[in-house]
Amino acid sequence: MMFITTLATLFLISLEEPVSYGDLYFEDTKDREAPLVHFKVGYSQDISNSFLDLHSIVADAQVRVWRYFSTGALFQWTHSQYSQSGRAFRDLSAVGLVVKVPTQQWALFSHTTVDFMIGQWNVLNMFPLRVDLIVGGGAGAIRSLDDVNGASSWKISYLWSAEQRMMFYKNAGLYVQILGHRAGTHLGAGLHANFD
Amino acid sequence: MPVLTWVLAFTPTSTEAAPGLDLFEQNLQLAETDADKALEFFREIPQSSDRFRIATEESMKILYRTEHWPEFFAYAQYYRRRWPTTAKGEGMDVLELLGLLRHCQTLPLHALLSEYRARWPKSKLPILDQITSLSELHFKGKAGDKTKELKPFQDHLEARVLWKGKEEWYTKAHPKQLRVKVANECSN
Repeated sequence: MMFITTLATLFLISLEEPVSYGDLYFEDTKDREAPLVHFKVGYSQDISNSFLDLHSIVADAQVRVWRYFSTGALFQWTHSQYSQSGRAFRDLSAVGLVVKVPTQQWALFSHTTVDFMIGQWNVLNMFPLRVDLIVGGGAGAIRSLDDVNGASSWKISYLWSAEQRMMFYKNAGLYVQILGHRAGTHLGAGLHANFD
Repeated sequence: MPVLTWVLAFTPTSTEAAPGLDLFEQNLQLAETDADKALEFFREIPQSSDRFRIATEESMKILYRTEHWPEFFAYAQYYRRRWPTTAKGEGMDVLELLGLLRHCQTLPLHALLSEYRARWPKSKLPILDQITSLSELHFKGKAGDKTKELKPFQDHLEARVLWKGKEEWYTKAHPKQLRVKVANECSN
């Protein structure tokens, strides 16, 4: 036993590095607050319209204004097409009933959010997982169409949003978001990144 | 026991903070009576401060005395890297040896003993001999209280996050942010 210990000791000394032992951990004591700059882009689908399939690309840029509060702009571009029931509804034109289903083309909102911190974990010492709940609201304009290929007009609208943000990598991760405005309610997911 | 006498020799003796002293000196005096408060103060001393070394030493003493081992071993390893030229056999080195001894961590203990034996003056070698002798003893009850070991789950509940660390963090991070989990190899 003594021989093995001596051999191990000589080996450690021969490395000429400080003797090290135990498992080292770093305690993250940084104050939790909203990221200084935050970007996200993702896909969302309308969940409130029975007659249309609305597929959207949503992009959001936020800047922290104070601790948990951020503000910025949210842009949404939407591709509209009739759903199965929408097509059936539209076929009623054959019997002389003209049907128009209003939709949206794109929208731009101011977007202010409050970042409710939920938690941060070190998962199996393999990757950090941070989960945030973000609630937001704002106002803006929607470029709406009176039908899928109809005439366009402007519509002023409110915006609300609730988002679950997960960080799998240091400053990036996935999000799931539900957002609503006068033209519909959208459920989406995508990628986001923080810059502090 | 000479080793214990040696340890007691560098613990503060005053029991109350005296007026007229600055905050740092007051906390030096408070270290024995209100260790938590003093430790909280010393932990906040920045690495750039002239008094950072003294604050680190005082923190180590408090952590050793209060048996906060994960923090103590982090401070000890940080201290040895930050101020490696303690060729005179300073108290902090002995404190680390005693901490390892109390955890029956024979391998790193003997590695450090060999290193110090080569560097320390002859007058200090009896201390190392005593620690070497103690490390070869096997007796019951050496394990002590294990209640202050690292508890990751409790840390999570208290919103503290522990990341698996890298060796380089000993030179980059403030020691207050480091924890070293050292298994207690002693038998109860």
